[in-house]
Amino acid sequence: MSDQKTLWILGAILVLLFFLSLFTGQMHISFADAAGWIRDWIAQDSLAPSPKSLVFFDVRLPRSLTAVLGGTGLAVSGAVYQGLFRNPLVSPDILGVSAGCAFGAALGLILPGSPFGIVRALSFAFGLSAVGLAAGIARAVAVRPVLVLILAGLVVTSMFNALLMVLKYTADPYSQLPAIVFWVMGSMHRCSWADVRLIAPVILMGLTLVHLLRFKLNILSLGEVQATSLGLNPRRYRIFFISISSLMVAVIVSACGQIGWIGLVIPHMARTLSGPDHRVMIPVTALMGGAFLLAADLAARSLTAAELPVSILTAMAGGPLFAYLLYQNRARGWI
Amino acid sequence: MGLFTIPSIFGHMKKLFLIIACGLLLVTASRACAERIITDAAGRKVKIPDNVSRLVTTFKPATLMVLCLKGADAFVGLDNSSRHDPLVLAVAPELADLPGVGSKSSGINLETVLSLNPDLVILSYQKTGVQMADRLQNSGCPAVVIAPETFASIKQTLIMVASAIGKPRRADAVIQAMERVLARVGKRVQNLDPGERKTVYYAGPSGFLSTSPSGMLQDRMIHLAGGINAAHGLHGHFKQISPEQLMTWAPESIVISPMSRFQAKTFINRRQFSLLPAVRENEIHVFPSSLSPWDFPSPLSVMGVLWLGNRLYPEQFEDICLLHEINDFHEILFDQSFTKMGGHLNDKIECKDPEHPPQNQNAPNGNPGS
Amino acid sequence: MSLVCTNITFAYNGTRVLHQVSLDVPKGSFCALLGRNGSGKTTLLHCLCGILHPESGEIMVDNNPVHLVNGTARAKCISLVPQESDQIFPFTVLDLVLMGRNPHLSRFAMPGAEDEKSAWQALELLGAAHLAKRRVNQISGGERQLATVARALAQQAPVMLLDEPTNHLDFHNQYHLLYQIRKLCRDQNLTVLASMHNPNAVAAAADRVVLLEAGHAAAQGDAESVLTQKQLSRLYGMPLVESRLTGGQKHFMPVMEFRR
Repeated sequence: MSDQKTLWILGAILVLLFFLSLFTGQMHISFADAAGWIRDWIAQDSLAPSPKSLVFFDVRLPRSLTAVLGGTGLAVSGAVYQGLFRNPLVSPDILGVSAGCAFGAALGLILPGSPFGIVRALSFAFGLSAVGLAAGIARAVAVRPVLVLILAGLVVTSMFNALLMVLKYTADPYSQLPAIVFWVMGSMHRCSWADVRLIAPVILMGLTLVHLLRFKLNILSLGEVQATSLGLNPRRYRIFFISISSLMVAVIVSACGQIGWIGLVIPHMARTLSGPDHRVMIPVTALMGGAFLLAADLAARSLTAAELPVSILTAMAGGPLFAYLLYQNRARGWI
Repeated sequence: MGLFTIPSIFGHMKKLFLIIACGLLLVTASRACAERIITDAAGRKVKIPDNVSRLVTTFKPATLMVLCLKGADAFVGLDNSSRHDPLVLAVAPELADLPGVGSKSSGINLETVLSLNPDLVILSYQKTGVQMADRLQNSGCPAVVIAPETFASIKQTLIMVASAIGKPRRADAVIQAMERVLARVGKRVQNLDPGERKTVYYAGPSGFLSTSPSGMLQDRMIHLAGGINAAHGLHGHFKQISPEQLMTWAPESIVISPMSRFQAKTFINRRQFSLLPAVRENEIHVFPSSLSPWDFPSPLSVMGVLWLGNRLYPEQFEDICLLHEINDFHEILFDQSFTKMGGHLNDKIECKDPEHPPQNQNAPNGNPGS
Repeated sequence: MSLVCTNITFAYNGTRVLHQVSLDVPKGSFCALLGRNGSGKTTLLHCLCGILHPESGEIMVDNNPVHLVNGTARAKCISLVPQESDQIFPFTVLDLVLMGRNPHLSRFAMPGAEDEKSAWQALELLGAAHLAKRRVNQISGGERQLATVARALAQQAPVMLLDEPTNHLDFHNQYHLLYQIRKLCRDQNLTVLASMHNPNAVAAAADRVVLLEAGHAAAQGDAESVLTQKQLSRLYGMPLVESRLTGGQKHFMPVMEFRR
């Protein structure tokens, strides 16, 4: 199947899922309702909002947009990291972004009397500082940059996880602890237009830049020696790509909590579908990531009357899917 | 001389024998009463000494139970967080200086407990409580497990703990006071038509979008106060819901757990929720009180029911002075009134939305709300 | 274009590896770099193409100082065929060769039709066009090396450096590769500097030879004059016997009794 066709089909699936998510939920909203609102909007009749229109425009629409943006951002970040670190088992959490974000959010949830925005801000700040710390450690060690970066990321991740455990220990078991646990499991049920306004610029900018530079990822994946001989400055590109990806992941995790497996599995699925050439693989990864998280979120809010944390669904789908891909690709020489 | 004839000596012997026999009986009977056997919430039969003068509790509800039963002087150790709790400090400030033995979530320090040489340890049924109780039992330390989750089990726990600490009549006093309050509320709401009953959404302690399904205490409290729990159709423990679900339920009143007060402010001001009847009419309240949360399982939960009924149906409760009732109840339980202990209802929440200015913040019948 | 480097000095963590190495490779010639393991061959090649930065020295490609230009401009002058490296991602051979076009692309550009044409041409020159759609992890070592040479060729750099190109190749592929490279020197006027291990292959294929001994350029010149029994015995630290084959080519064997 040609690459163009693959992209069109994936794009169509994404759009279809998006519309499906807009019309699925506990409140029954039909196409006729939506058509009516659009008609009113075109005719510039400012009608008072009804519960259904509020659900549609203020609950479902921002939530679905967040899911698409989040899935895209996480998947592409994963693809970038796998290319940069020349390791198909790497995920965007490897430098400690998620662990730092989780710690920051827990801190915000524990601080007495903090408004909701503080949780997001602290989460974002600590996520980025985790990456900064890992980069700093790697720079200080200054040998074999790629390997040391991964090890520094491990150090920073375990440090923030330990700090998170301390926070859980001191948290009030009736209110703060369950709130922390639920936040860490990841969910998009709190998302509103404020979140979309924060996330969209970062993700769109990040996606655009990665898309424009996707050919360079091919070359970077050959290793430092060969990339330099082909005219690239690997260190500069590494700093750039890590910064962009960390920004994207931090902004997503601080809004939605930790959502696992997307950064790891989706790039593999994309490679299985259309090969490792990043010129095709990056757009395919982006579309698949958006569709995957959208589908998972749809299930999270529709399977039961209460909300399931979306990480459960991405893990339950992602794990077996990854095993299946490993099996499928055993002859192709990925491993 | 007649006293010492043979038949009279025999008669004396019989009397002596009877006296000795009674004496022996009394002695054995009193020795049997030196220990009691209590059945705790896990069905364990525990032998507890008659006089409990060294008491250790391992989680806050247990500490509160003992304080309600006026058993504060028996404490030698308690859970860490109770030592900073405003209600505990108001009732028995000396408890702040006692050693802390840990907490339910982070674990109980077995060594600390044993080093205090307690006559009785009270633990929670949840987590590893039962195993810990057995271990304490095996080390020669009487330990009971309690599970005060619903009104029924709160009453059972009161009876059991009162009996364990040797104050059985106190339990009756507290239970009677509780039932009096519930009866007063019941009388006023039982005549409400089904159509008049308001749908209530309870925002739980884990966040504005967490709530209590049926089977939990808060669901029962809403029912006793004459309301309908919006989440009654769900089951299990605290549940997270989606904003859409909340809008489908369209509750007429929202009551918020004090732990979620700050988070709630952000959510209530969202445009999504502006059409909820509760938001439109500004029927949004935070569970009291400043001393202890009335939405948590404890004998004070009946105060929560009273307060809720008063807020939901002010017309039905016009003849009751809320604060008087609260003060009286606290006097019965703690020998101090609510206001004397520095308590406030704290049940208001500022709605920043200028379209919805605070309307019925002050109840019409002049109840000094807070 | 000729490659001239003068007084290249390099140290790893304080240990001097290259001592004032100067060499001169005329345009269109195949120059072989001979030396023992650890004599600094790879270090020299990496200094020439910009992966390592020498402490001092100049590198000129046709009198243009490439040691002063940025990576992209240098990559247009000098290309590198590294030792066999593991490929993480199974690109197709064509995609691999296409990566050689990178120095000619601007930052945000993708390879276009012209670049694809260059890639195909490179493969055809080496007789490897049939490999274009195969994946690099599914072809033999020799074919992989050929693909890497094709990539360097697609770079259209006048100077090509090869780092032990015949290391992992079998007898056939070794000579096949050397033959192809020789052909490129002749037909495309490519200037080649290749580090090699086997003096006999060098005698067959190379025009010029540089002997690198412990970071010093011990001898350099045309193959006939440098490849002598005396020079090579000293370089490899063992007695050699020089003979001449029927075609006129020199041949060297160590003096060792294998059959006692």
